[in-house]
Amino acid sequence: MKNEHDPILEAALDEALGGKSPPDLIAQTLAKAAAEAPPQQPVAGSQSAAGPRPAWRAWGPGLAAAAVAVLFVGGNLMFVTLYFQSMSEKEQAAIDAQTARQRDEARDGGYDMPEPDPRDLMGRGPDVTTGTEDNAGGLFESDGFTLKVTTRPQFRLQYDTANPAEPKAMHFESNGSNPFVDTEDDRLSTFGLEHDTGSYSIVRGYLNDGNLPPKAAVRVEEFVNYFDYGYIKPAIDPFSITMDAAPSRYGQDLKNSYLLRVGVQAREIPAYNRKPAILTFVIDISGSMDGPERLGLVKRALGMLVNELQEGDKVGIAVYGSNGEMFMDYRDASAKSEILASIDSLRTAGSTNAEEGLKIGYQMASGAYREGYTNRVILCSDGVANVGHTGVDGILQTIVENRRKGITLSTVGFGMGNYNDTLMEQLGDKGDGHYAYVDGIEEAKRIFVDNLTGALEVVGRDVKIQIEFNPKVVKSYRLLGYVNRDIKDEDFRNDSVDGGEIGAGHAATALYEIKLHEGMTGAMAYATLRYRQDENDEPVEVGKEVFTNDIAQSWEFADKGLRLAGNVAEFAEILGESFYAKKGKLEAVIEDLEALKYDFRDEKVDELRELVRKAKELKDKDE
Amino acid sequence: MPMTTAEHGIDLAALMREHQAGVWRFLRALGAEPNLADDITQETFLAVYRKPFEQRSRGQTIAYLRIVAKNLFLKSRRKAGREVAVAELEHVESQWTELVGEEDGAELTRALKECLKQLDEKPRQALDLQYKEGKQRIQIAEQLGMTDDGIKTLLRRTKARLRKCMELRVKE
Repeated sequence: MKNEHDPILEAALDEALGGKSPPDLIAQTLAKAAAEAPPQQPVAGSQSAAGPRPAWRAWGPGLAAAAVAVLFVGGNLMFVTLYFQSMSEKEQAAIDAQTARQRDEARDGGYDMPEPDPRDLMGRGPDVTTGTEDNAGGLFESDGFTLKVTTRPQFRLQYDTANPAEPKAMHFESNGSNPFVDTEDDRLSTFGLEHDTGSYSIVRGYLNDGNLPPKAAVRVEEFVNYFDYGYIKPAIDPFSITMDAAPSRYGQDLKNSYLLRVGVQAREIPAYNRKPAILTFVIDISGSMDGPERLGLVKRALGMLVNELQEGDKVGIAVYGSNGEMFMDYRDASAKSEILASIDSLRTAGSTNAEEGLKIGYQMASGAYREGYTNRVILCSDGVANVGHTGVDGILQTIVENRRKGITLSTVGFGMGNYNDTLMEQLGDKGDGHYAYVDGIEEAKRIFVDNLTGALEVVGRDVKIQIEFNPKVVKSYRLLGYVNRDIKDEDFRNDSVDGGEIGAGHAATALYEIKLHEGMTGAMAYATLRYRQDENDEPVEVGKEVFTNDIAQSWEFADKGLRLAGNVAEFAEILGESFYAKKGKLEAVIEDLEALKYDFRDEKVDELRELVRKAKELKDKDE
Repeated sequence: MPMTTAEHGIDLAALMREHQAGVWRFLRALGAEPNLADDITQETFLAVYRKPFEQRSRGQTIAYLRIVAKNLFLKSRRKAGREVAVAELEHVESQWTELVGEEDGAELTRALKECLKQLDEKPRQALDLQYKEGKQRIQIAEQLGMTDDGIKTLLRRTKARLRKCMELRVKE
């Protein structure tokens, strides 16, 4: 090892040149030390309940006995990943019976469980709906087990060629917010995890232009996921899960109220290790794309991306205006100058036929398809599309069919004004790729240069997460954001139901506002993450449990990442005019972000502080 | 239940203020990535907090912290399923003790910075591209108009020189 590798010098060079110097970890460590010595003793048995399954967990619907095993080794959680096999009907019946038995036992065991309703068991009963207490104006209905959002986003495509900048052509679909759910009514919370961040860049665009965003443009999870929380990056496993909590700083009633964080971090893949990619750009060159902040920005962004590509990557371009056509056949990334010249010669023309553009893009991609490569179609558009003959369902079907073949779709939105956010997000969602919105050259750099590997290499497909709350400890919970990512509890293990996608090095964070029963301690929740590494792989599950011991002593002692996430979510909730943030004040967010000022060496956090200030000024003017 | 600070007399914050940078740099020198070094540094002090030790001298405290940190690092590597060359690790450890002694390693970085000033333009550029911009060797080669092998040799020689220079300076 004499000359080959010198870790001492490498570390010193990393510090001297790369700025990787020792961080100040005192506050974090003190908080952890404090969390280890909670004021109350945990309930007997909750911490020491060693075994394949924590004692408090009942057999929820669709939870297979052997799916997840948690071992306690020296007080530490160890993850055991097991491959999940689909349940036979017999096993399912056994679990059904066990569910009923456990419910009976639970009732006899003394804590209050509602009378088991036949429709409760697997959520398969008559379609009777009952409103929940906090149903925020009747937007939501509950069938006892599954929370359904009745205002699912719909496609409503509109375009206005006569006056494309007319604001009425702007199209966002309001998602509302999730209500509080009583743990006794439904202890399971299931949804698809995703690392989209488009909503944050869109809102930033509005605020920087001096306007408050329409509330429907705000998606809490895309705000939260825009920031880095420094989760442990797993070396071997595709994902790590982080769970922690702190007493709530925001919310309507802070008594017994806590903010719970579930963070999922995907493994990082170094750029030189990523699979070579065959990229097919489908670029909107319709009239509405004219201008430096649209097609001009597309060109600069693609130029950046092409510069990051490596030999072996291939690039092809399709364009669409009134008609779609192949603009440039595939070239190897080593022919950079030819590709760049070709991109530079793009000119706008005609109306918008996105369907034909995508069709041609997919034809090209099918022809160039190669096993072992990342095969990706990238749609660059302002999202205002007419839909040809078959309507949006036709487009979606094409996308889904190609995804099954292994060709994924990313959508990148450009330009404000008549930007159709809903369409772009949904297209990217169906295509298993990801969705981003580029509001300027800085954002283009973030997406196409800094996060290129993450954008191209998907570590987990159909990523779903199910949180099971312990009704003994947690009284009720509310998921912040992920409103249109809701999955029925019983569909958690139904592989025909699509989940989210997470790219290499990306993280996704879910926040819950939870209310605990007075004085109860012990296990709060158990998270099960389910994903596939490749389109045709068997799904894998990993799990993690969180205890009242993991709650920080106070908001100020909480992990800085949890605090940041809480502030970001509150900012989003106030801008989105969430029912639960009615009393929320942006001043409070600014105050806490100021307190966190020196904990982050991160431009994004500095920018956030400024954005919250701008939003506050605009709101003050409004009132 | 862990004892509280008052019970066993360890002022965790003060201990960390004095030694966290040293523990962190030590872990980095063992080969831990920055994030992992963050985590294990915290774990090290938490372990010490949970299981206090008698603090006799600064040297003994440092030696104790390094042992705990090294063991936690080994554990995390094994848990991640990575093979660990223990002999190699111990070699690095003894080099570190020799170079850094009872300091926290900042001196080493300072020495390296001085050494970097003496480099010619090309090797300096290559290092900047690698460490400041995180570029791969092949990209560095392209940017500096050299072959991949050429860069490999250049970097190897430059690093060997830097290592020697750094050692000489700290031992002075």
